[in-house]
Amino acid sequence: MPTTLDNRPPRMTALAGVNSADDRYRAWYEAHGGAIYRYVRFHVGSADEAEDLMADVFFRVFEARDRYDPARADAVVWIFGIARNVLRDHQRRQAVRKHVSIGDLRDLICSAPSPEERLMQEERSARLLAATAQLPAAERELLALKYSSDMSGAEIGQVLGIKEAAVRTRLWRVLGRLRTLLDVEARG
Amino acid sequence: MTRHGEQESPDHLREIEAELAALRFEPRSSLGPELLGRYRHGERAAPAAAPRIIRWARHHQRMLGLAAGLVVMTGLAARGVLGPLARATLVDHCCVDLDGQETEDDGLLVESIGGEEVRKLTVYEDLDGDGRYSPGDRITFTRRGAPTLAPPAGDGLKARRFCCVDYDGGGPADDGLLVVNGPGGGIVLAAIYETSRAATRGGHIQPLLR
Repeated sequence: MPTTLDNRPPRMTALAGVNSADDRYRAWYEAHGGAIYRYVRFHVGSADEAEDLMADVFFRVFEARDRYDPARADAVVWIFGIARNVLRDHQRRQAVRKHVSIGDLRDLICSAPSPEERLMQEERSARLLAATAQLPAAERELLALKYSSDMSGAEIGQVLGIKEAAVRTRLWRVLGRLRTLLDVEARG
Repeated sequence: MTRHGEQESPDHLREIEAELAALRFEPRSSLGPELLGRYRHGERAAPAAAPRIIRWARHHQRMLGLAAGLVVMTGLAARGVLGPLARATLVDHCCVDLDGQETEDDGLLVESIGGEEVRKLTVYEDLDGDGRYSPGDRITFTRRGAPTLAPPAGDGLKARRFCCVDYDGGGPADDGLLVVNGPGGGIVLAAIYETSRAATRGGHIQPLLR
């Protein structure tokens, strides 16, 4: 199944008509909170840890709100820049997650109709996350941005400081490597 | 083509891509309002992690201490002089309006020894907005050693005090910051002082500037 992203909500890219600081916070959170959460959650092992990082990201966003210049970058690129810095700080303090247990996936969106199918989906997700944790940090970062943020390849390129075409070729290389990791694990 | 008009992945990668796309986490619905409430009540982001060299130094503090002890002992043997071992700390505090431009985008880097002597003090403009010093930020004031005041010609100096932060890494958040802005903005003096150790001279409380 190709990734079309068609079922995802539209993102707010401008904040016209938003007046007070609280309104601006709400608009930013509403537009990007879900994507930022998925992004940090991709990197960390639990919902609690992700919530702590969300607090750091949005406190920093709020503190820096007056310095945001829409002419320099779209809000989503700016906020993801802050989220990446928060995550980098966090990773300096902690070892990278290498194992994901099923119990840590309580915030996983699951469409499985039965408890058994849900369990199977959680197992697949845990296996996938454990495999991504074996990738080098830059490759894991690319996957997190691509599959969590709802950003386009051009926007991901802006965040990473590379061209859109480079995003695509790197992504395919990383996906190939991830597939190999999962195949090896399945055989082993 | 995808929604963003991008090229689709090759066939052999579609399955893994679909698995990744299906991996969706969702924050609890009360998280956004809760974070706003916490911010309103004064909670702030955790300070940025110290630079790698500082973390390395902290991690290897004991070994560094032993090595420093060895060096000092060698020095003592050669010179017969005793001196205390001191630990260097670097504190990065951002962001407030220090240059008088009415935007809270200035940060302060204080390099001190043993929570006492200020070796270097730097004010920077946090251009990338990451809430800490990074190589692209603009240095607007820097000094080494003791604070000195060399005001520009003309009137209009403006002194402001900020309190209280642990600027020198000495422990409690009891350090104040004195900033003197020039007539056209900019910083002509920046110094920290400990609020608990002000000296009384001529009936006036005078903080000891460092």
